[in-house]
Amino acid sequence: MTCAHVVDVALKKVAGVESVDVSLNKGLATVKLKPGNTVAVPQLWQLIHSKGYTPKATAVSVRGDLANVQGRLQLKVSGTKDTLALAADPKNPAAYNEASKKLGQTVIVQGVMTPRKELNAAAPLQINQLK
Amino acid sequence: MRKKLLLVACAFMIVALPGRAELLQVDLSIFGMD
Repeated sequence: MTCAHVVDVALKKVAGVESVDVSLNKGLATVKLKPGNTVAVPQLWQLIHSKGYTPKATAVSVRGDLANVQGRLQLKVSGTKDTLALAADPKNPAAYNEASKKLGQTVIVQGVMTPRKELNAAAPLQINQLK
Repeated sequence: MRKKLLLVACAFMIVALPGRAELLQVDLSIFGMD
């Protein structure tokens, strides 16, 4: 059994996961999720860690409602009761500015989340594209 | 009467449910893979 297979099998067991594609060359696992899933990114990071690997920067595509909570832009991910803090991407600050003008709207945000030392700790999502 | 109550309850549940929102795709970079 290859190492990639171990990760592949573990990710596929997560409720709400539709498909998993693990690339050995790229060191990348692409996880597609089913509609209505309640998966959170830190949950996947912990799972990867439990299999002996270190999760790194994670490209995320997520749908939710934009909100301003105590002056900070957030994405309410109602499927998970999760609220993702949003942060500007230094390479594309325009996406963050655009998001701040769409409060209350449901959008698809693409961005990057970087795990913290405590893998279950919430990490901000750096927006680089808004749909 | 019971049917009406059921309909009202269903309508309330639909309104109370949050809009669909969730993770769509995640690309995890993994260090230490061989």
